[in-house]
Amino acid sequence: MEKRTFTYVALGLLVWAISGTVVAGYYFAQYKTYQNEYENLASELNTLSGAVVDLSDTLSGTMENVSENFTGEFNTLSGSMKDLSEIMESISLKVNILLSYGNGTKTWHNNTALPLGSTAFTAILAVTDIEYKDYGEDLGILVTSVNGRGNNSTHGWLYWYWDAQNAKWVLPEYAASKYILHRGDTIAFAYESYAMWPPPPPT
Amino acid sequence: MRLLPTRHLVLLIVLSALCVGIQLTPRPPNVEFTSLVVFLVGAIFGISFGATLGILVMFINGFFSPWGFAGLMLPFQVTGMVIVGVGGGLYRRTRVGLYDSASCIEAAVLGAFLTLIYDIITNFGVAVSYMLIGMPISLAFVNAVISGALFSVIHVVSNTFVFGLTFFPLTNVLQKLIGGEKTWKKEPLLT
Repeated sequence: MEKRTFTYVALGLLVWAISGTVVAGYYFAQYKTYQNEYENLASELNTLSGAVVDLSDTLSGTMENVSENFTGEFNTLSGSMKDLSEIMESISLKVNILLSYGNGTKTWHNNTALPLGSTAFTAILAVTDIEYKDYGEDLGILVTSVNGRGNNSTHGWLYWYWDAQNAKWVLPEYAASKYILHRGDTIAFAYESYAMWPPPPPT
Repeated sequence: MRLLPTRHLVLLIVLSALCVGIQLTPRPPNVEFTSLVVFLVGAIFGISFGATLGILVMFINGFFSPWGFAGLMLPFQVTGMVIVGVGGGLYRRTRVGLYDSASCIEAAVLGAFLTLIYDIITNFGVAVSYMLIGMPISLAFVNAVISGALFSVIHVVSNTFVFGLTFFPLTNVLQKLIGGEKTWKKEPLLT
């Protein structure tokens, strides 16, 4: 090989060797850097994972306590509601109310809850729109109109109660405000003619 | 003192201006034509002109480079470019015969080698800056070389191609311009 050629080949190889070494060093340094970063990240991930597990345990315990407390509170509240319901039941009554408009139209208001001491008058007052006239302490209150259907010279609103023992409707001889209701009573307000007395009971 | 013919002087001035202009032009990092022009001037006008142009260009570059003031790197960059200019001058003395594909390979190898030397010197400058903040010299140098490895590879590879592909065609044109001679006569060039 000519000396000149040898010189340039040697120079080329030297450049290649130095460049290759430098690049290898660069990649080794990069490798170490990224390896360290990877190890640090893995370590942080482990720490974070442990923290998440601890947090999960703590959260689970807290949720359990909250659940227990909630269940206890709920049971207490449920008991209170039951007591309240019993109290409410003890100071109220339920009755069935029939409205008969004399033209075949009849409306039942079953299991209507009313306070203890309610009368037939307060019962109809609670379930529909009425007009009435108060005749004082002795005579009581007369219902004069129900849902716009009012008393006149030939027809008027009469009330009845159901005698369960004898299985028949009874027409009381006193005002609706005087009839004290009992639990399970069935009463009727019927629009009837005065032409026949006593009028026929509601059916 | 040797006096230059006017045509040579004008060519030298134009090349110097071109060299400074290219060096200060924004460009990808470490892709440059300064080394080629300095080497070319050294090869055509001799060691002293090559070295002087190297000093001039890197000095101006040190203050006006788009990458900012060179600072501590300035003397190392100047030294590196002086070596490139001197390399061109020395090559002028050794080269005989018409250029061919082997000559292009020669120029490419020389370009790569001189660029590598330049990078080693400038990396040493970086190492000195590391040493100033307390790093041991060997560690500082290895650190500087390794951290600049990718830039060095870009520099060396790009200059390998620049020198290999353009040095002889440019030399041929310039030789014709200044004297009408054939490029690389059988005997060493005389200007």
